[in-house]
Amino acid sequence: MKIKLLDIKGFGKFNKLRIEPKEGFNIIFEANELGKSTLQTFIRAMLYGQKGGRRLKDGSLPPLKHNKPWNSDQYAGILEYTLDNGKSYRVGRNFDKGTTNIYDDGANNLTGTFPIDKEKGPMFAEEHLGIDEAAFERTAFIGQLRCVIDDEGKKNLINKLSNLNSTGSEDISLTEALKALDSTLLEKVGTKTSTTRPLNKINNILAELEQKKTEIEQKNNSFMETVLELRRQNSILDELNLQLDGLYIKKESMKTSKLLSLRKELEDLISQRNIIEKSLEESERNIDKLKNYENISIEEVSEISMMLREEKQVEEMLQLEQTRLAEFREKCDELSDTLEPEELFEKKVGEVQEAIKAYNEFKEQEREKTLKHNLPVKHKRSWMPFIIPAGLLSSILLLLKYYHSQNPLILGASIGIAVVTVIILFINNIRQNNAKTIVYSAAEELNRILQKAGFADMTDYVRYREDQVKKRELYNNYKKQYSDTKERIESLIAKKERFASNWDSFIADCKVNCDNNDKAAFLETIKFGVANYIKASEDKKRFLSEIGNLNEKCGIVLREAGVLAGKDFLSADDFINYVKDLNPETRPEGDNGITLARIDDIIRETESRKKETEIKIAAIKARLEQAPKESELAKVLEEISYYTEKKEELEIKGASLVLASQVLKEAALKMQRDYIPYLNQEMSRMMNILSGGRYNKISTNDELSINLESPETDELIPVNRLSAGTIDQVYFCMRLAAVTLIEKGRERLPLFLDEPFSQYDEERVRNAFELLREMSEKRQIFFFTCREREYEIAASVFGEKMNRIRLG
Amino acid sequence: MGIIKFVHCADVHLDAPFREHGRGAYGDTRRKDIRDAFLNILKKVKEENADFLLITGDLYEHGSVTKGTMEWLHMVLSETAVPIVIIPGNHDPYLLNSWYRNWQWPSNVTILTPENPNLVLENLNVHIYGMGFSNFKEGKPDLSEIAKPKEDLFNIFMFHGTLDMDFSGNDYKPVTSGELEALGYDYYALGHFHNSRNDYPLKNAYNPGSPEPLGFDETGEHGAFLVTAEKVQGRASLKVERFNTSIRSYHDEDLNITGLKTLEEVKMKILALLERFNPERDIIRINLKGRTELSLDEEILTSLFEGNFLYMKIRNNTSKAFDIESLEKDLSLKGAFVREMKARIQNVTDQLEQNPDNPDLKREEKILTLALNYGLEVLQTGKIEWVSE
Repeated sequence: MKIKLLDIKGFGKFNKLRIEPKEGFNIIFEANELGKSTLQTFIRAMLYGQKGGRRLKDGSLPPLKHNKPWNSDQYAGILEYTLDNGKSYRVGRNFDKGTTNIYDDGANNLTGTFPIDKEKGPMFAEEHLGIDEAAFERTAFIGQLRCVIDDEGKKNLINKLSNLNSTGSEDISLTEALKALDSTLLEKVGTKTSTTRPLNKINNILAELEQKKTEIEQKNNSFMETVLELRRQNSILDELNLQLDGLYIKKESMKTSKLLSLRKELEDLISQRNIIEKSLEESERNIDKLKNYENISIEEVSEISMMLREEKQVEEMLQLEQTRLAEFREKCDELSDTLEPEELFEKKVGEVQEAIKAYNEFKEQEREKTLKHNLPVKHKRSWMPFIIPAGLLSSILLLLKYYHSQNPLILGASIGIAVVTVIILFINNIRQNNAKTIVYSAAEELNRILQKAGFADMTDYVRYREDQVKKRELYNNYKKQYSDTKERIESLIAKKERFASNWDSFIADCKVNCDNNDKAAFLETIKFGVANYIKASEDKKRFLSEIGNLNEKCGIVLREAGVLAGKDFLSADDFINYVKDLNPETRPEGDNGITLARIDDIIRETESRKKETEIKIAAIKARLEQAPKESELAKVLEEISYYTEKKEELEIKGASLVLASQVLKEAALKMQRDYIPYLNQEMSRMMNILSGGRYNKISTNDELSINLESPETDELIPVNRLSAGTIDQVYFCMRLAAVTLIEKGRERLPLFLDEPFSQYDEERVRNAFELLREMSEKRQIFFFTCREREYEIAASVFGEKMNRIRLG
Repeated sequence: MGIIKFVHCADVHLDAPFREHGRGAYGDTRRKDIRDAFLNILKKVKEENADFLLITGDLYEHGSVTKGTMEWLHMVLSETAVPIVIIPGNHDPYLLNSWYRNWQWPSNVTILTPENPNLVLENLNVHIYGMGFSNFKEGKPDLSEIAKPKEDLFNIFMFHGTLDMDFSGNDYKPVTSGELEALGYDYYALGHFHNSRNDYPLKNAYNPGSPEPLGFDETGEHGAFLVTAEKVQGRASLKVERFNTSIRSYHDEDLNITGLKTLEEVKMKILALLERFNPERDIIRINLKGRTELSLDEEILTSLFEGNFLYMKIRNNTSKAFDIESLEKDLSLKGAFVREMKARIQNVTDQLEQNPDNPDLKREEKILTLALNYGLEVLQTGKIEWVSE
């Protein structure tokens, strides 16, 4: 694009100013306050229009009002330009009226072919230049850099460079943007790692509410279970009441039945009692009849009866004993006739016994003597059978030896042994003959005495003596039995007398006439009378007892009936009268043999269960009073819903912040990859010219830091280590490079440079103009300055190609 | 049979919690509104001498209904003194611990359950079959078990569920008009959807909606149906009149404030909008939309205008006054960012066109739009102006 005509009818301080710029380098060299900035504003206003309306946020006037001409009626202008494609356009704007007309070089009004902005009118510049006003201003206008030497200024410039490098715009900082997104996310939303941010607070509230909700739900469930339990218990109570009603009916029915049964029982008892009372009367009559036997006891009769039986036995025994007594007397008399007189028997026997004794003593003495002396003899006797044969054998053997040996000594020995043996044999025989002679003499003496006593021999004596002893013993025995029998007879007679006395006494006591001749018959009469009397008495007693029992049973029946009927029956008639009113047809159905007591038990048990159920129901009802509060859960659910919505909103905002950050990074990265190589290349070329070959390369690394390469050192120098003037140059290069980058594929933009070299020394200014000269070959440049140095250097660099535009 | 007259309502939702957070005891007031709306139905039953009342599900909220409300319900239902037939819905399913099973309902109330789905009102020659919920969610129902209509009786099929909506994997008894029509009933008393509808392909199917609207997605009038029916020689004729019962009315209003330069202008526009509404009746939400440079605090704006409204909320859904079209052409990072975001937004918008009710896509669209605003705001100002809510 090249501006061909700027015809200002009235704009700010300008009034009717017509400027025809050249295609290349145009310099506006004027003192300050002569309208250099206004001209720039006019060009922008002609291309993009002006915002009107109320004052801006900072209180300043909107451009439309701000740029109103000071001394002109017209607030308008004309702009003519030619695009790179050769087409020319003429734009006329009347800012007062807000009208804009665009014509092509054929004078065709194209106004309606462009989109219209409500405030600014047809948007032709956007279409022709391909960029909006902001981009146009940011790109084509390179203003006073105000690059001061202090650190703050240097820092600002580095920031601009960095922004330009990372975002394509010196005013946009990716770092700041990301930082702002991150800090907003952390402070206004919150993250998983934060604890006190809004999202964290909402999460805490929600957790509390969820807890509360769970508690209320549990309470509700428990309440519902209580309602269920109440219903269950009520149904149990209904069932129990039904059961009880049935039981009460059954009980009443059974009671009636029982009372009727009791009445029958009572009537039976009374009937039995009547019968027994009759029997009692009969018994009493009998007792009266047998009154005489009243004082006789059956024991007494029995004793007398026993006595009579004993008396008869005594009589029989007495006869027997008397017979025996006579027998014993007779036997004694017989024996006494055959017995030797006692003195004679004693004498005979005494003498013989003395002789026997003497003989035995002598014999004993002899035996003892023999025993005493015969002990060695006995030994000899014992050895004798051996000594004598041995002696004889030895003698024979020696003799035989002698015959063989003819030894005289042997012969002598043989003879000697034979002699000795004969001597021993002889002595032994002599001694045995002497003993036999003494014993024979004692026996002779005994025989003599026996004969003297009249006994033929010892045998005779013994026979005599034994016969006499036996007879004497028998006699003594009979004699003793006789005596004993006599004693027994006496005793029996005494007993008989005593019986007679007793009988007399018994008869005397009985008031019954007795025939003493037949004691047994009398006694039988007595016995019969007494037995009848006793029986009658016992019957009476029994009947009375039975009547008592029956009365007692009647009492029990009446009491039972009283309990059943719930009233006291004083008499059987009382009860019978009461029962008359009962319906005898009422019979319990299907009682299955169940008793009234069992029914009572069941009723008691059922009533007890009913009571328990009623207590349970009362307790459940009390619990139901603690029902969950009205709308308690609904309110918590509402709170949860409210905070969930808030949370969702915050999460959406958080997600949006994160996404914005992420997309920004991605977009920046993409832009840098597309943008930076070309930017570096262009900047390097320009910096080489600007620095007079000192720096021939500018590069930006992945961290977006800018470095300069010096051919002298081959060292990469970070931009922040450069001098403020060099940084300014780098910035200038970057802006120019950015222009070429932005317009790539689009319309080539005119450049508006407003005092850009104020911090440069002369050499740098010259170098800069050299660069501009190169650029002005293909691009229209407007250079605004109030400095003579810049004007002169420009004039020397551009020569005739420089077009000076005057504003006055 | 003679002419019968009955009232058909559904989705009362007694003791329902409310999502919106209004002034004071807002929830309690709204729950009272529900009761009053229900009383309006009962009043209609009495005024019209209706023969019976049908309640097709969601009479109460199982989770939050209270004993007090059940006692109140017992009282008003027993006072109504005509047969009342109820089926449980997905909000008050026939669970083991449900009030339907455990509460002592008045003698004039019949609850149709899976064990006892039929009712014949002998004196009216009416046969009613009910199919409600026994759980919070139930899939496609087995219609083969439904009793056949009874000859010479007027047959009503009470159904709580989804009719003619193609929700794949629908958990709320999805059926089609064709399926119901095959049953051959004379009147299909529907429930479940809160907005009234009587334009189903199945001509004799009616959904009364909720008697009281329960949220901003239930704008407009709410009520129930008064049905007059007759069956002559096997042909049923119906006259269905809708009557209003609602106490309040929801209004979700969008207000575009693009171009308004000052807060005063915005306030004036809000005021003008509010003048159309009745503070006694209307529940209002104003969604500020468009692009503006103004700093708008929702809470401050709401407090300025809520006045006598039971509920009035202003939501700031505006975005900064960015000229997206111009920015799109920007050659700096701003332009690159806008282009990337716009591409992403367009992608989601395209998907939403195919699936307009997809909540995830809606959420994504919201996130992308906000991200675009946030990104531009930080690029332009270096910070985000955060308006607290």
